[in-house]
Amino acid sequence: MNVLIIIIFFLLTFFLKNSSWGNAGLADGTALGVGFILIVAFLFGKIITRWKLPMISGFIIGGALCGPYILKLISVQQVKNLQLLDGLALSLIALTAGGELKLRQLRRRFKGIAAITFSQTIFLIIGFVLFVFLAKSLFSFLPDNNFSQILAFSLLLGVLAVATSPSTTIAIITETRAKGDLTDLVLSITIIKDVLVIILFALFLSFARFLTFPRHTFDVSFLLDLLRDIGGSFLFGGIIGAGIIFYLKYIKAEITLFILGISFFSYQISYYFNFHPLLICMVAGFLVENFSAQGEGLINAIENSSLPIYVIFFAISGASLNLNILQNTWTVALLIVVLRASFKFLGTYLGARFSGEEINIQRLSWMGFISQAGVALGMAIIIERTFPQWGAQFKALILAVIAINQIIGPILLQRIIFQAGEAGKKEI
Amino acid sequence: MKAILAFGILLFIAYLGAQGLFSKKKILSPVNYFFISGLIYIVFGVLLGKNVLNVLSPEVLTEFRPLVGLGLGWIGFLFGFQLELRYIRQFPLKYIGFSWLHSLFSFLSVTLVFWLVLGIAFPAHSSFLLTGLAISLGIIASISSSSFIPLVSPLIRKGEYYRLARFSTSIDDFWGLWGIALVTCFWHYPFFKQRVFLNGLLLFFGSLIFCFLLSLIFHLLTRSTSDSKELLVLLLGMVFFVSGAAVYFNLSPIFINMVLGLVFSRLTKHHEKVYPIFISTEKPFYIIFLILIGALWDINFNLKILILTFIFVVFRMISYSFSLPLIEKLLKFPFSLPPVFGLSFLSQGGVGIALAIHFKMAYPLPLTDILVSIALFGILINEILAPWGLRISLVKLEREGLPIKVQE
Repeated sequence: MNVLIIIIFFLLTFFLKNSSWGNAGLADGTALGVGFILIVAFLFGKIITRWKLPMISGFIIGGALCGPYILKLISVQQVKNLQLLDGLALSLIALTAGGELKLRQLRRRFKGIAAITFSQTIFLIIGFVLFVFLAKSLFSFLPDNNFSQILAFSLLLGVLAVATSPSTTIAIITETRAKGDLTDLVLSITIIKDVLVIILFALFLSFARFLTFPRHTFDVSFLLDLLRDIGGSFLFGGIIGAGIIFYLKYIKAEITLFILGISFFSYQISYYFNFHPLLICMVAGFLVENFSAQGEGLINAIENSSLPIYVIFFAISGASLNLNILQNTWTVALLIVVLRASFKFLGTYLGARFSGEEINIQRLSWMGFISQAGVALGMAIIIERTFPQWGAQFKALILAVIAINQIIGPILLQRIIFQAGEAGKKEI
Repeated sequence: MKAILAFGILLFIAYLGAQGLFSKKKILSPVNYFFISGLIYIVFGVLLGKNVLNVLSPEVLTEFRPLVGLGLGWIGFLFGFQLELRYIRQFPLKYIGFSWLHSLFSFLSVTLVFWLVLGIAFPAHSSFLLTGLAISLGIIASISSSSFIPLVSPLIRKGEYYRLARFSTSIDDFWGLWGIALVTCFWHYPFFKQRVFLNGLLLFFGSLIFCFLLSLIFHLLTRSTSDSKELLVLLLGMVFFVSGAAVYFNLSPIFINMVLGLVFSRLTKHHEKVYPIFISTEKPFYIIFLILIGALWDINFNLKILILTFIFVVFRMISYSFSLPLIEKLLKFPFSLPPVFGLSFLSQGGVGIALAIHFKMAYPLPLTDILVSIALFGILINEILAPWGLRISLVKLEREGLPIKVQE
């Protein structure tokens, strides 16, 4: 039945969009696109669960199928027009992510978290530097025998490989209602790495500029800007968190509306002051969870309305996947994906073993760090603008890598949650 | 600084939303009702919009356009879904006749007056356009708030006038929405150059078939699920899709969603699952919708608008009141309908506002901004007058105990 309804929706949308009376110059069909993508992606999610795959993979595949690169029922402009919903969804997911981080857990697992994060980061950066130097013929767009440029490229590729998508991680954890040591560890490391990647990226970008452009000095003044952005995000996240605590404690009513308003406000203000929207909301969620009795109320309020948010967010991310690029670069992209997964395995395994984590975590948890999305994409765009010689090719390659990782990442994460027996353990 | 101020406003809005919206306390004070009915959120929208703080700037509002479409559709779907035949059948047929004639008279008189006045005020514009504008104002005038009378229910005696007023206000939007569907089909923008009637009919019946088909699909989709989160996704998706299709074809999302809700309500057996979703989402949606309307409103205030708003309010009031003796005679009503009873219907509520904003979206013309200003100022004034009107009409009539129980 679901397949039949999807076909009817495809035909209806195709007919509507091609009707001569449609689009009288007033509407671009964005609302039509939202409705279409919500229903179709949701039905894809439902269908895919029959094969024991996560719903969000269905949302992503549904979005990609309807998007501008396959069936073209949603245009690039419409995908761009949905950025506000995308931003709102991201803020809400980040609030949940922060709210899921328990200070008690972080303290208890500090050694494991630090060791795995450190080990993964080192393995990925060094691994990719070595790979690029050994296989530089694969990257024909890099100038021959130019050590500096090859080093700059490899460092940036390495730092991008470290990033894991917190939104995908939190969506899978919510969908599977997972609770347990492995879940906590994967989530904590993913969130901490997100902050770490932002810092490392700024550092490496400045170094890469110094290597690539002869007149550019290795200027550390960017550290001050970084400090301001990250410090501001923390500070503002603190203020937002305090606001949420106050509201949940004393006013209590219309929590959904309030949370939506706060998310919108955080998203807007982050652009105004150049803060990190994800960081603001994570800090706010973390504060509410760990420094008040209102954490559960916040998470419940968000989770009650989380399904439409996830459907829209992941369907848009599916529609944004540039599949034309994947078609052209899939061999190199696939190689990078395999290497990244291997380095993640090595880094995670050794880090977990060193810190004395249990055998399940040593062997399985690397699969929880494969997904990639917004942060890596944002960084690829900055690289494209900064390095005109090879930035565009770099971005294209990263987009292809993200496309593959975003399809296999959620599936792997769901698999390890089930294997570890942590699915369905969280009470609603 | 602007953002901090906006944050403060946001907190205050949420606080007010939590405290006052649709509460039944002190409803008979005009100032309180302005807060309780939610119209204060339009003022907040104006403050946050481009005219004052510009937090909801035109660029941000462009991104919010799908949400405005959703808000319009949500209001229509909600109305259609809640319009139950079982409820309507509890009332005498004369009550349905009353509601229809009452709306019709106010529509005709306001349309006629504005058809004459607009021709004088804007002689340079085409008569086709001015007629459409007059009809639109007439339709907005013919609608009254369905939530106002239930809100005051604890405060007055529930006799036959109360029953009649409550019934009439709960279904008179239905007539208005059919009117709006006809306007958007036959005055379809950009205006048909030829075969206006045939093309209008095609659009009208095409949209009805579309609604029936989607209602059936929606029913099939919701039949197999009982999870409230999944129902919310499907409900949002369907209302977005239908509203989006309506906006894309420049038709009325309110009407098309009303039909969707009406048909779906007849087909589904899951009312008890769908209602809680509405209840939990109704207030937040309505508040966000009103704020967006305030922000979208290009406030156009000059002497001409002032006079036209005055005409709108006064003629609506006159037609609502002085049509009553005529309706009483035409329907051979079993009890008297004094003109003062018409003042019970002054409040216009959300559907009137939604129609005004629909016109703004569907007809991007300078005259539309004038229509929106007349309608919104008129609605705001009517909301302020509504508690006063109610005190001197329904409350008084019921206190006097007239009429004695109707013989059906």
